[in-house]
Amino acid sequence: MALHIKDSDQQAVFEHSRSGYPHEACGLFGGNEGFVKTFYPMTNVAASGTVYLLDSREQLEVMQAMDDAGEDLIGIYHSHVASEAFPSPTDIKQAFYPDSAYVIVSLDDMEKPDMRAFMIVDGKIGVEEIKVIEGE
Amino acid sequence: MAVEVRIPTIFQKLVGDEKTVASEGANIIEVLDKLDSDYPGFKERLTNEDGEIHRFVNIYVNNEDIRYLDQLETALSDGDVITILPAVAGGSI
Repeated sequence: MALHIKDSDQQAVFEHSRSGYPHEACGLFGGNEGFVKTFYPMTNVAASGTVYLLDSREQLEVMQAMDDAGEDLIGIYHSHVASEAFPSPTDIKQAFYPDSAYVIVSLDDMEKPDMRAFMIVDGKIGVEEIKVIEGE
Repeated sequence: MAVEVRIPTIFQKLVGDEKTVASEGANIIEVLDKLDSDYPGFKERLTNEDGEIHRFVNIYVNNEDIRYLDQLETALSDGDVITILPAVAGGSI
């Protein structure tokens, strides 16, 4: 199933990635059936250019907000500040949400970030198509 | 103490595909021990070889992370809700 994201949300993710630089930025996508309804920018408590970790309290709050809004966790995003948008060995090892797409934004070219999505299940990577929907 | 435990997707197979299970214990350790006796292998998935909670597992009591409470010793009351969530983490290396 492709991941559908509005153009405005994709731009918000790119801006969030850039504003987090030189640290990795991260966030969650709530939605249903592969359509992103809400982008939740999150805090990278690792504050690192090579590692990200969501704040545990913020994570629970946002996941409960998704539940309340009838959304599922359909995407987990983070940025790679200087490498390609592909899961690293750490990303694979720490992929604990097999039902969610893992979305990686590469800032290798800061002007033209590259967003790609993957399913990571039992250590295996599957490419997930991203469809950008025009509009707000 | 009778408590409710919310189970994340990756552990639901261990508990018969349930999202929520009932358990009991005076603190988190006792609840994990009870869950492990009801569902063998459960505790092993959450803890390291020293018996500590794996760093990528978050456990909450009534929406507070037990890291900010008394960790595994966190005392429980009847009706408490325990939520287990894998951390969201990764990196570029």
